[in-house]
Amino acid sequence: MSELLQLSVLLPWILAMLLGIFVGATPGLTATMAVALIVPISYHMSATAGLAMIIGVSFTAIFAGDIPATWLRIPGTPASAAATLDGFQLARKRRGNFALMIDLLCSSIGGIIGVATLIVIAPQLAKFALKFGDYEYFWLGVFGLSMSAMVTMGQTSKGLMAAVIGVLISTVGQDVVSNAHRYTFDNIDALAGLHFIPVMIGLFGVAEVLRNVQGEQTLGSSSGTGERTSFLSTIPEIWKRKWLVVKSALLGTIIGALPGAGADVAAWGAYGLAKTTSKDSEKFGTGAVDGVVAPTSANNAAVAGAWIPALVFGVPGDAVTAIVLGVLMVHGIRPGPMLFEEGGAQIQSIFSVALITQVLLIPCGWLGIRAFGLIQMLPRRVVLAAVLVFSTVGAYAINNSMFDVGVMVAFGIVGFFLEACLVPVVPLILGLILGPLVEEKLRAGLIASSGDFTPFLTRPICVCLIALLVLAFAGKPALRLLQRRKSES
Amino acid sequence: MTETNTPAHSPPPPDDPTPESVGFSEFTGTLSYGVFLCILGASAIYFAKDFRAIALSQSDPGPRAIPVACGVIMIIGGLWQFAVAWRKRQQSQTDRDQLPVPSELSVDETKQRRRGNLRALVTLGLLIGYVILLPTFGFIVATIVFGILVLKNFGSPWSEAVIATASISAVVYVLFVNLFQVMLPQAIQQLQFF
Repeated sequence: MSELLQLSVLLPWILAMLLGIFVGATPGLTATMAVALIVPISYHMSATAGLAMIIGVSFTAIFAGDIPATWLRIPGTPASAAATLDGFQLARKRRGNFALMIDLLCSSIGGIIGVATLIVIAPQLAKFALKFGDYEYFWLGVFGLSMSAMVTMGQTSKGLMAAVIGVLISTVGQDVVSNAHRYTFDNIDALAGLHFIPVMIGLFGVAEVLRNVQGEQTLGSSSGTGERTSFLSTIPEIWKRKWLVVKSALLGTIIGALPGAGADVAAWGAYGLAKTTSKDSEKFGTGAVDGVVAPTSANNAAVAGAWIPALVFGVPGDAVTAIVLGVLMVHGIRPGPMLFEEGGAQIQSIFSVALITQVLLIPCGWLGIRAFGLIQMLPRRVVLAAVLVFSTVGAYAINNSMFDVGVMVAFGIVGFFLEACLVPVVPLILGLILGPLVEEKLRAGLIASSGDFTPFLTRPICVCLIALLVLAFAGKPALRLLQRRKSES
Repeated sequence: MTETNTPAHSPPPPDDPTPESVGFSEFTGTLSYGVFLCILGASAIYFAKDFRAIALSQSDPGPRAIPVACGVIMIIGGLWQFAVAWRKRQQSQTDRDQLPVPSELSVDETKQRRRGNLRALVTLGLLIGYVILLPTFGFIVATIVFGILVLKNFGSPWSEAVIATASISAVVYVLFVNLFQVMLPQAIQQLQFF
């Protein structure tokens, strides 16, 4: 705990949070991208400082996305899309700062509830996770891959295929079991496989810049700011809605914990729940404070929720935690149930960082709201050019290798193409992360069972996971069929 | 947490004010994705035959198992995308028959799209050029040239392009080299101006 308060940790932590505010508040730049940009820097810090930077940036970027959503009706991140409704309507009524202050406080409270749930649930889940063997992990990996595609809003088949592409990419390099060189084409740099950070920077950073440059007609535009509101004046408003905050945060945590689902799904889910259970549902969309409170409490809680499968099973719940898992491994921390058994200090450190981040979010977010006007004075084209340079240097800095920069550019083109085809790229990233787990566990399981596939299908936890998988894919169509038959009869 | 700006997996707000997708039409996008999947899948299977492996256990499915499985799934998925694209085309033709006026892009919109496509293409070309020149000219020269050209491509006036490039280069240099002790690419000896 005392290490967290040292200047060598606190300073980069706060700077990273401020970067998170800047990136999150800039439409087109996502929280994932903010984390991907901070990773090369975190490699050169101590494990605690690196972790603090990444946790800090992920939470602040999600909050900061609400700033342009409220003022300009342009969500900074997809998780902030719900803020374009009531937050923006409040801004039109000259209450934009009031909406953002409520937003900030609810983000912080939502994050605390999410982290508290993580602290309570994760160790219990870890005890259960110790019962997992190769067979169970294989199905868990398949489940994670499938879920990431399932939640891609009507693009399931495209998402599933993107996940398969990710798995295929994960096979590049030297096979650890047989030493076979897979898709290396005699390139020595490719023997270690494709580092997922350049892939991430390419898919999110470069592709996003290209998309913006192609679509945006006013790259030189900048925006202004609004009125001032006292931070303390928002506390009574939130107190009136305390149960809505708790309800939305818990829902956000649960959704965040599902692999592939995330802050954007959580925000819309909480907004929908708040609207359907509200007595004044007709006021939603016209500047209802409830419509600001619910999604913002949920999206930050979802960030914490995504850490549950990441820490307990080593299976990332989203792209941000996927990057974080990589960073943890670089610093010698192996996520999984054993982390809770053996890495007490490390897990305490992660929990402490996550909790303190929620507190630090308030001053950093306040600064962000105030500074938004100044930052937005920069022409958008300058920000995009800076992202390209930063992405290139960031990819290079990981291994001091131009090969990684090439990988970044290649995946920038792939990401741009996939986005143009309306293909979600997040399943691809999860495929890249979960691919080695699925392959390793499949092969280890088959070797252990002398080639017999039966244990994969008969062990109790495997059966449960297969049932969940079938339910996830067949449940909705079956329900629809049932309803159609009912209406016909 | 699904965290990208892809319109495909972020549920759009009911009255989303952001401009329409700058990508392909749904038909072209699905068809192109199908072609991409088939080519990638077939390549994955073809190149997997070259894997030289030392068999450690009879029970191990080997290094080819997952890549080949992925290749097969991708080909099937690609064919599925063709079917989806075909169905969408049929559907859109039916819808068009029912619509009173076919929706066409205006001349201005077509021009804007072309300009946008060209700008993205030039940006990509400049980025590739930057990556190629980086090891030869080093970080400072390559970044200054790239920064100015890319900002001019984005429509910046000369003064803004020069000042912004100098600021970006300085910030990145100080951050990575001075603060984090990262060695950025150096120019080859014959071209070392700095």
